[in-house]
Amino acid sequence: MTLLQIKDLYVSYGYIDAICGVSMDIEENRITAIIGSNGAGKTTIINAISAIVRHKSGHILLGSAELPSSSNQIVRKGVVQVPEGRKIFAGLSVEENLRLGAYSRHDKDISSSLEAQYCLFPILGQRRAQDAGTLSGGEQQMLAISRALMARPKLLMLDEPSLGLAPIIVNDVFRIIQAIKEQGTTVLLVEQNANKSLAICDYAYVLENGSVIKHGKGSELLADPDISCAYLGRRR
Amino acid sequence: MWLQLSINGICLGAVYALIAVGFAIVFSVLKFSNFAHGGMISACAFMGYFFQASFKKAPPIWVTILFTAFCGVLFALFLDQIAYRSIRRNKSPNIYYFLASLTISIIITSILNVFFSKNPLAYPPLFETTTFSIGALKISKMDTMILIISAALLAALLLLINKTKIGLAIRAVAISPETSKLMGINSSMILIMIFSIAGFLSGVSGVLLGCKYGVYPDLGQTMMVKGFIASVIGGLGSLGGAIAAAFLLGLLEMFWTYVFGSLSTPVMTFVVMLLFLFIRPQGISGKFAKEKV
Ligand SMILES: Nc1ncnc2c1ncn2[C@@H]1O[C@H](COP(=O)(O)OP(=O)(O)OP(=O)(O)O)[C@@H](O)[C@H]1O
Ligand SMILES: [Mg+2]
Repeated sequence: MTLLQIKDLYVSYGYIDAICGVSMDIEENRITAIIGSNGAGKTTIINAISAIVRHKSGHILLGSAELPSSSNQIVRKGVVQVPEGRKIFAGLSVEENLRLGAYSRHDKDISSSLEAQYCLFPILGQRRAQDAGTLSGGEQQMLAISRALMARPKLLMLDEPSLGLAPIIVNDVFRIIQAIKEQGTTVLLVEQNANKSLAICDYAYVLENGSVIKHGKGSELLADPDISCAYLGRRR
Repeated sequence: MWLQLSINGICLGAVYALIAVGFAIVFSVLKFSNFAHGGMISACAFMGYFFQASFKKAPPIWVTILFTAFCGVLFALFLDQIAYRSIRRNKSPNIYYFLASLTISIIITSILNVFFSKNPLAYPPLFETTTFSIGALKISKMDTMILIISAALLAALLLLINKTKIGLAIRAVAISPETSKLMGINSSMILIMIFSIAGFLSGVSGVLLGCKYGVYPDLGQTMMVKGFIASVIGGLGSLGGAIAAAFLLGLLEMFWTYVFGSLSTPVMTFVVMLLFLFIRPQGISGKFAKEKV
């Protein structure tokens, strides 16, 4: 079943067209990946879904209904992003960051969710009272993911979660993304690390200059000679 | 004598604290010093005065305070609509906020100056005798009332900011309005709320200052300077720091006036502010510096 459908999306910044007619289907309980080089428009797509940038034309449908037009309401619909560069709240504690992740929830179950997150990310449990700004890059990425999970998302969008992390931590991050999917959350993964994301995703879109140039199953794209040449650094 | 001065200083500090917190809370979220606060205080002082005067038998002071605080909120929302909303929508630099707030303050004060003289109008006396004594200490009833009201209000505000979900959202918006939206926080609602809180505080300050000093057009601007200095010394944007600094300033002023006379007091307060800016620009709390890093 399709959870989120993007139809013929156009986004521009002033006169620069960043996204020109992109259509995508994001299937429920799957990992969908968007790969592409710098400036391809990956972040722009995620921000258009979150209504951080407004789209010029096209539709973004959750189920069969158009998404609301303001970012905070979109979060309430269960569409949550882990932004590029993590964007954790420095100056607030780890636990306060997690509580902010749950801001859109109205149930009283927050503390059990907190405990669940501390189980998933033990390091955050140890640092719960620490200023989140003093965490290492890897820990901040874990916090950003954990914070988004506190909202109990239907669709979790991750924007370059492996950026700037040591290879061993990168492996952790990809393992966690798979675990999130296995717990029944739909994932939209934006990555420059094409190799790893194609390996774990179910379906992928390749974006270039604001248009989808190819799409298919992760395993198919991994085997595609054009893709391996342009994005995986292999020689023909 | 020292004890007497300390008590007077604390009472004065309570007045400054209320103003300083009005500054600090707007600064913490919008990163500009809201000079409109001074004009608002004057306007609210007049509103409170005329509300009080419109009855044959003056209503209890808390009714006047509540009424004026409510007017302060409406007034703040009105100013937000006419002056700040477009700045926000265009994502203009903060210097525009600063200029707009300064202009608003001047406009309000000028309008009041057209209609009212510089001679202070006095609120009807609240108490039959002005002081009560404990041993040799003479304590002004008015000051005690002001101290109690400010302390209660400040405590409520600190609780709201530090202990509630809304307070956490306010602190998040203070750090990053954009990221806050991704948490499901309605950032523009929070900004409107901040202005409402500042308006509420200016309403209460207006009545209390009016009771203490009489009502005249420049009342707000004169007093605002003290609140502004306290919010700078406290570390811009820190509520706790602003409160601590306000009490410090109140005490310092009392003692200085006692030893050196009142003529040089304003000079002293500005020198203290400059010293802080040179030696410890992050203020008492040190929070400002941490946020910048
Ligand atoms: N705020 C903005 N104003 C103007 N142009 C922008 C803005 N944000 C992005 N762009 C432009 O839109 C295009 C797509 O940018 P986007 O950030 O979506 O790329 P990306 O695929 O996420 O790249 P990266 O992998 O480097 O993060 C780029 O050409 C960029 O210069
Ligand atoms: Mg990007």
